[in-house]
Amino acid sequence: MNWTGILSDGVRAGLGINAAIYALAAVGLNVQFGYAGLWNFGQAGFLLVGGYGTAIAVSSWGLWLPWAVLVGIAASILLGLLLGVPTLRLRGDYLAIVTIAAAEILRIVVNSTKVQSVTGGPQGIGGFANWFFDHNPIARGRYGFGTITYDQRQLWVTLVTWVLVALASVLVALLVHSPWGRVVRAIREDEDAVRSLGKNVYSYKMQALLLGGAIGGVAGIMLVFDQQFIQPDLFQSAITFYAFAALILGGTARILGPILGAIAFWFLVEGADSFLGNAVDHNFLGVGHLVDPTQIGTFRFVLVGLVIMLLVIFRPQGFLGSRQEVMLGEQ
Amino acid sequence: MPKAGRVVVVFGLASISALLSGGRAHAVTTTTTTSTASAASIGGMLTVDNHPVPGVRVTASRGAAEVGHAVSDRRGAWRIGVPGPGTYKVALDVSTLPSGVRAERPELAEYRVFGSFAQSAGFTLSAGQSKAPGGQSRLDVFLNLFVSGIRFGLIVGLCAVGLSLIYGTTGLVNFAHGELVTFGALIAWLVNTMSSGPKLPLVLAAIIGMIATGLLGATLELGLWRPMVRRRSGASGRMLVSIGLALFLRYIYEVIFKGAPRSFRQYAAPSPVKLGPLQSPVRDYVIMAICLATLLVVGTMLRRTRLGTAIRAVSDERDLSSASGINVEGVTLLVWISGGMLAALGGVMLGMGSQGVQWNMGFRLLLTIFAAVVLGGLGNPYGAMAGGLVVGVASQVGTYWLPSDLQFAIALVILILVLLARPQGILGVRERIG
Amino acid sequence: MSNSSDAVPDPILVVESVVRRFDGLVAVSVDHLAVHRHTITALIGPNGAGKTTLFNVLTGFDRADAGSWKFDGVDVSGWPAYRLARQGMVRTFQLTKALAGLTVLDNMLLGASGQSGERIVVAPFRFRWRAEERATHERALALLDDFGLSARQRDLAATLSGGQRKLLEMARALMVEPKLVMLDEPMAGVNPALVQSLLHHVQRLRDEGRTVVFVEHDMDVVMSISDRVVCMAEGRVIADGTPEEVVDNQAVVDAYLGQRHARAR
Repeated sequence: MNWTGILSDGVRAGLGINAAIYALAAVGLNVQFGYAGLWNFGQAGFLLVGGYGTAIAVSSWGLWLPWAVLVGIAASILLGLLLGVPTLRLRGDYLAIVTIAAAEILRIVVNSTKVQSVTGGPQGIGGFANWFFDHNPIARGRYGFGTITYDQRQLWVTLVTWVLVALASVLVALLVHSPWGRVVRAIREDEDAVRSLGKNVYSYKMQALLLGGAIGGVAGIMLVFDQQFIQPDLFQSAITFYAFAALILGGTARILGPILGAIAFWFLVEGADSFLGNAVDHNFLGVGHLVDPTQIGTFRFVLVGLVIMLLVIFRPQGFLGSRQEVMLGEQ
Repeated sequence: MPKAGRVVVVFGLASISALLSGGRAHAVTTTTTTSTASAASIGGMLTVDNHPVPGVRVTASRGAAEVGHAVSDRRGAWRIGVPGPGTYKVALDVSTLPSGVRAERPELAEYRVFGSFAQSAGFTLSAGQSKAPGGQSRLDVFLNLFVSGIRFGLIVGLCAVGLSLIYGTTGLVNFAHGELVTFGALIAWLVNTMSSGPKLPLVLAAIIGMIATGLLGATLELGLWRPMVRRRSGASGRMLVSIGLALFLRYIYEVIFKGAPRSFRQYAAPSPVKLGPLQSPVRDYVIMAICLATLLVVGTMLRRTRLGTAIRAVSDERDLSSASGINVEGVTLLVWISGGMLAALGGVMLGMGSQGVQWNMGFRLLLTIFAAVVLGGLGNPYGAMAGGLVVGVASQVGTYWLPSDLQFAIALVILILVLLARPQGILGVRERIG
Repeated sequence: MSNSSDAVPDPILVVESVVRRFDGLVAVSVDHLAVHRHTITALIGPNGAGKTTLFNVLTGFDRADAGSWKFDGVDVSGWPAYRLARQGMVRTFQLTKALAGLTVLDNMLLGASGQSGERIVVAPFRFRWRAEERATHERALALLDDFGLSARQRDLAATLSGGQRKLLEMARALMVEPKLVMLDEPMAGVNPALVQSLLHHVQRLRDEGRTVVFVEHDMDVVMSISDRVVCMAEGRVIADGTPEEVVDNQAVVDAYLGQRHARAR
């Protein structure tokens, strides 16, 4: 068994681009779910419109990439408006169902043959992020320590994403520690009380939904930058559930919760993948007879499911949360 | 179908092949270094007017070298394993297409595979100039879609009633309900077809599947939900646990049963019977009759029996019911058992259709079930039945105008439109506004 | 007893023909009701008389099927709850809605209206709202002092007793600087020792120039502090006058007796 290999696979993933993208998506969810108590189960849809908005703005309209990124962000804000207007006046369950439904609709629609000329259908769109990689200031080579290395391309996109995570987190921190944050946290506790004090609850919920959605849109943009490619299959609803898992793992309604959660989540997932791969190759503890090597990817989902369940049941506050300020427990 | 018998159709049916890959899309390969074999593959469904096109040869090649080929099966499905990420040429062998069917673009010259997972590739097939298979008129096509919509809607209704009852009595939006549907179908399939098993006829197998799923529902209630409720877990915490549970169960199914769809020993490929303009196999009418009868029985039981009254009482006022001597925990347990059994029946009925029994069949249906439940008003079992019919018919009939790869989206769009107009659902009572 | 009921009638709230039905059942049907400025008006009536429903309708937490009402000369029928609160009509709830996950002080700060730091574009820039926040803070501390809660300002509201939560809710409502305070059963579930303190606070609200309407079904509480009493039964106003007039009113006696009879059966 190559234990150091397993460990470094885990660490590489924990610091890598996926962790950064999911951290960003989870920061958005933290605004919506953690602070405002909004059940957005369609974060994948916000990533999708962010990504497609940017890709289409470049490929179809020929926009300069930085403008296209703004188009992507605007698209995810627009999605938030479309979803929020009908549902934010209703009970929270409705938002949950409508957001997940909308995310699936979007994925099906961009996949459809009817819009293939714009979205590329199942084949997707490629090559729209050249500008981003052309402006990579990092010289060719491999960077890192020990066995954990990244090439200049990976390092560039990963660094930029982590910087965005930091910026988003600072913004969220400033907001939640302001009177605005006080209103939003109060809405999570009891909307009617906040309404009775003259606050327009609907408007605050909308703001939280849009802010979280815009951050999700940025996550989607970085996801497709990293791929240099966009395709409907990238935006499965599993993204949302992963991001939720990361958020709960780290702790909801905590500034660093989604970041630590995403790092830990990807460390666990890739570490477990690597462990299983190794165990199959070396027939560790007889695993080789039990596990079909092509199914290692499947086991990760079993693991993620188990982690979500156990966490919510036994430690709903995650790594950082305090038991008192968590909405998963007593209500 | 629209325009002069030209039948626009399919593809890598999004909801099937995409979900086959089950979200592994972001298992980005650049950061993995494990030495395991690549699971990358390209696949799709070949159909014309919802009829599968079997026996078509598809090849994938890189440069001049062929890396794999596949022949579409009885369901029109094909899948080719490829060595890993990269750009491939995927081509249909047009000589293997049935006469009268042609491919709009038989070759995808630069198909990009970018991860170690199952990807979908679409080929649009169209039937020749003169007529669609079976020579149906446009009205006939519409009527047939309508009937298959009713069949689908009744199945959705079966599953939705259970979900709605569970929501009503426990306040849980159960994201793992689809896994109950799958469980019932998988158990029935095992009992029906496993070579070392009893190979029972499907009717018995279905009953065993229902009993097993009822037991699974009871186990979950006793082992998971009841303890959580006793520990005063909020509805939101339980909803998240149900998401974890759904992932956990679903991928265990995949580990055990692998990816491919399966069919039951009986009734798998019946020939359609002409009944006026309608062309459906007798099987489909039987499915409709069973679903309808079950829904009627459930509806009557809810209205007429003491148990039904108790269930409705708990749905309306959980605390009050408890105070007035109703055994709330007992009622909840029964709701989980019956909800599980109904879901299992729905699963078996769904598995008898053209999509077969598959590890993620319930998950694929879940959002449609949600749509039905919300349409009918959350927690209202009669509403769920009605919502199921609306969603089922609308999603099938919608394919008369729209490409059938949008079928699932139609159901969800209806959901959102209805919510806009009537947030309380079709049958729900308007709640106070905030 | 106060004599402010002798003041010149100057209604702050006028209700005309308000109807609210639930599934065909008429829960509230009030032809006319006026609440006079600088008075304490008690809304009484047996259980199910429609008091809380009327409250909810007037404060924008429920919708009316018909009718209109004016607050401070402005037609506010059908306004959403938050606009009514901003207009100066603030309510409390029968089941207290202290925001349990927030500290006592945060509960209070939340009440202040028109904070610029509550706007998302201003909120990230602390220097833009720091001074304002400090002033709000001082006002909150003064009120907490009044209500005897200043020692608990750093604690989560969840840790307060039932009576303390009622006090907090009332103090928080005052942060909005309302002209009219609508209290829904402020004494319900409060330990008797605290009732006197609560009543004292209610009277002080009036003496500070505010108007108070409160829902109560205990007649004795009502008699001691109210200037006017409105009695509802089966959704209608059946009596409206001074406490003495209302307590002698046959319809009121019947309504209460009827309920007692029903209970005995």
